[in-house]
Amino acid sequence: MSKKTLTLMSKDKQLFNIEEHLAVQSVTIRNMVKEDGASSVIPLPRVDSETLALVIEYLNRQQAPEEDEDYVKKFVDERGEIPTLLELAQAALDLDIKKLMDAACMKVADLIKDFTLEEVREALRIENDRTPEEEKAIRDEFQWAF
Amino acid sequence: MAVQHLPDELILQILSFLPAKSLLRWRSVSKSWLNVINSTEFKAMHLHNFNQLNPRYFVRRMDYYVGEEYNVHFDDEAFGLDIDTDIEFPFDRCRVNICYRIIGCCNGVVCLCDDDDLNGADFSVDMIILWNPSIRRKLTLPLPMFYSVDFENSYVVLGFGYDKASDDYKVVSLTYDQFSSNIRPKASVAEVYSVKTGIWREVMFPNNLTCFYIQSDWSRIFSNGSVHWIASNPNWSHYSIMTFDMNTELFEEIQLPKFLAEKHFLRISVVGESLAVIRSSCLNFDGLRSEGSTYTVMVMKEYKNPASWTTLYHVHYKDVEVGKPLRLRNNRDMIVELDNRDIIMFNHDEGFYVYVLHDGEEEDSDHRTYVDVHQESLALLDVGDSVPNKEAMEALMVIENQDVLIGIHFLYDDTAEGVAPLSIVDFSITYLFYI
Repeated sequence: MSKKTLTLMSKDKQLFNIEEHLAVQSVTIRNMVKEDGASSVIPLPRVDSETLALVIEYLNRQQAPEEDEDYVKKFVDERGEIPTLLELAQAALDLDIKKLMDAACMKVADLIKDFTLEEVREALRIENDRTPEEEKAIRDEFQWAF
Repeated sequence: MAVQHLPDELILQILSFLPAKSLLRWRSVSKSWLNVINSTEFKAMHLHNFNQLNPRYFVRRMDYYVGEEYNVHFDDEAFGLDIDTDIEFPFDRCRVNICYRIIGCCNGVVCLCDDDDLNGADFSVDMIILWNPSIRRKLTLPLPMFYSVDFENSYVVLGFGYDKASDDYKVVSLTYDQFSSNIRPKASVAEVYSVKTGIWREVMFPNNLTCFYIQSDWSRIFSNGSVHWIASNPNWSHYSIMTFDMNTELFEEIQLPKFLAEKHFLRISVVGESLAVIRSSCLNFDGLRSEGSTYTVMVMKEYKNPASWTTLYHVHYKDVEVGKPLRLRNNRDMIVELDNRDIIMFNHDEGFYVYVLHDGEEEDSDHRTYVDVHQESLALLDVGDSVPNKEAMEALMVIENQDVLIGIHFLYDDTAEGVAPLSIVDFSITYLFYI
């Protein structure tokens, strides 16, 4: 019996094949398959091809369940750049792959925990909507943490 | 290229894995971050996610020269010291006792009480504090109502916990009659303090409990939403667990297995989610060690079902003195303090002790060591005051402002005289920030 294969399409229109029983680790894909059989290509308009390749690599892993925790940790550790991890986390969020999202977020948290305000704004793409006075008032409350 | 914003859910998730100190700093990143970090939902998510990732314990020890010391240990095999987590004990020495009694600990908040326990049940409370060391916040509570009215003839037993449904920290107080307590305590009076309301309020104490008599130094733990105390009947012949549910505010009783119900010096703990009771014969004060030294650890597999009490392990040493059990870990190891104040780990399966702390000199036979789960949390962020900040004090001393120096000196002197040390140090901090 041949295993059923799904085709995923990235934002930049690249196609990736993956066996259905592996792809349905993503709750989003599982629901799509349930709804319409997903015979054709599944478009993922928010995930670029590089990130999708990573996600596919993760879904294709051949790990025993008890080694899975360590594997996913190592998997994100090897992609130690914040922008890559954020893309991966966002894709995992869209595709609803909880373990991968948690691991990527944990890794980002670990990388940024000692960042200054400016650095964290830049890393997580946050606009500063505080006046310097407001910032100072909040800062003064917990001066020791800075 | 326009910056693409990240989904809020992703930001939340990332923030929930960060230490409390980073979050305090980043409250000024943006308006929405301040709201997120201050929200009840986020606090709960952070408490769960961060601490699940960083399971740790804290050990409080009393050094008669240095004062109270708090160290954080990893929940790993070696119980290794977490040197990056530095908890400075911010309060002045107790006025009544040698060091604070730790009533309990939950969600990273420690409930401290300064009381006089030197004469057993003859015990008076002077101060109750809730303290969150990870964000350096504290809240000083007023004394319980009934106790305040008649403190000369009464003593109180406290319990501390959290009501998840109302997101509220609560302290429960039982006031006992001082003079009759050794023979037959009168029905005690119960009241609850809620951090949200800021007041003590009377709650119903049932008259149908067999065991409702508790001494202040008897073992207690907050777990499953309730405070659990080891309690006895009035003539000390029967023991059980008395509980107080922080949500329903009702007292109940959990029966102990017959084997334990007639024993003194039981210790209550948890293994995972299960309630556990440790019986150790070395706790006998009477000098009789006929049964050798033994540990018996029993767990209640199904909460509030006395039929589910199961022996976890039973150890017997003929002539080796075992120590005082402090707490069980989730891997069933027992943290034990020896008479010489060494803290050791007892692993039943491996059958040996692992030394984790070596203190050396014996200072006092009355040990003040306390072990509990250490959790980083944002609890008390919106209600607590800053704790006295020793770093800021020292920094200020350098400033060449004679008036300020005199002011601070004056404040310190007052503290030494025994005038409400906490509020005075607080005042000096406020003063500091506005110069």
